[in-house]
Amino acid sequence: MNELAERVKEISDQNVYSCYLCGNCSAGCMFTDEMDTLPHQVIALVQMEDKDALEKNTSWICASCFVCSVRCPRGLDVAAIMEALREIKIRERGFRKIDLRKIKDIEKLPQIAITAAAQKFTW
Amino acid sequence: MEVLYYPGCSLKNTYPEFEKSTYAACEKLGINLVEIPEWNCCGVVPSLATDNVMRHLGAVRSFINAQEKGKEIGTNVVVTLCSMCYNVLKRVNLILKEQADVLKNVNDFIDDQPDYVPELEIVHFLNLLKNVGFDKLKERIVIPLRGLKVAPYYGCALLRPDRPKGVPIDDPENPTVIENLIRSIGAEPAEFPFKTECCGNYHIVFEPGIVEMRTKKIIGSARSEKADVILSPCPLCTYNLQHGNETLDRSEQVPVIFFTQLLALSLGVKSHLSTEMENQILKKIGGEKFV
Repeated sequence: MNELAERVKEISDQNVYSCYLCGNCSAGCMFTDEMDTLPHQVIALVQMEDKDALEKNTSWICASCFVCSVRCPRGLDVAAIMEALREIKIRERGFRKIDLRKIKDIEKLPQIAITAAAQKFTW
Repeated sequence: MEVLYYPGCSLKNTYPEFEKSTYAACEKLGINLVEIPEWNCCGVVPSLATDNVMRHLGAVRSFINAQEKGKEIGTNVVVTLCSMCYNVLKRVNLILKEQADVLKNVNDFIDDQPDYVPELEIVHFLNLLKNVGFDKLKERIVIPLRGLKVAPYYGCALLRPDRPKGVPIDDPENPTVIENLIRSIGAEPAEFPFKTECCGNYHIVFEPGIVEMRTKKIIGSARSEKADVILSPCPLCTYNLQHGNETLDRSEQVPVIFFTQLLALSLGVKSHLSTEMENQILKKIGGEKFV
């Protein structure tokens, strides 16, 4: 197993080599219009140890709705793999995806939304 | 029936009508909700990282308070209303039941509270109603909502993921529990293909365009099925769908309300709907006699 795949496994307990790239996750994903790379393509990048997987916007667009995880014929938790890719970046020293102080209309937003965003985008 | 109750932040701040209508309905149904003392934030979204249990701690602290209160009143059932809270609490509780090392880890870390013994059962209010029985519920209805077409919206958190096994309250691909509730209160459920689709979740904070893209599709689907209202179990979905409505023309909007509000209305207790909304529904179901 390559180092990147190993790291993904460490964080998410998912083995990307189980994936045979059928594309079912990407077919069911409701957010692909916003993604520069499809979810199964990102998994293929991890299989090939292409660090570009971490630079694609795919994992950040993923909203953890788990449709992919429910439908994967190989039983992979694809959403957890996306979380692992986010976590690898978030845990990098000096990395910052968002600035919580710069939320627009913070008074209008429900705290549930802000807390959820903070959970997914920050350490 | 006495059960423990975990409210979560949205029911106390953003959408008090969700909680108030539930209390009103529960009183009528003989369900006594006992609020967990000093509950705290569940974390909203479950952490999917298996190497970091820190994010489970919020849920566990509430479990400990629930466990102690449960001993007093003699129950281990914790009911939640918010689907986000349900998902996190259910998931964390199952992880603690299944993984002794994680349980030990969090118990060792939390040294200012008693240890958590994972014997609580986390139940969503919809399943509590299902356990009471929709037939029995039907007998208690005083205002059957005949003629009202209701789009049952589930969102994600009640149905997915199915790991650990036991998180979904119903079939993840074709749930029916909200439809059954709708039928039991006399209304008609809309065949609604977008009922399990995601509203865009927390993207409302930094990428509201994503939420608008999602919610327009969901509302449009409900609209094309001629739904009078969308029934939501989730505060964040409700916020996002209402945001989506604001971006649409009035003729394309479908109002979004909580399932407990419609339940309360049909039980003849205070629904905590806006007067306008309540009148609109009452008018729809049978004329002016209720208005």
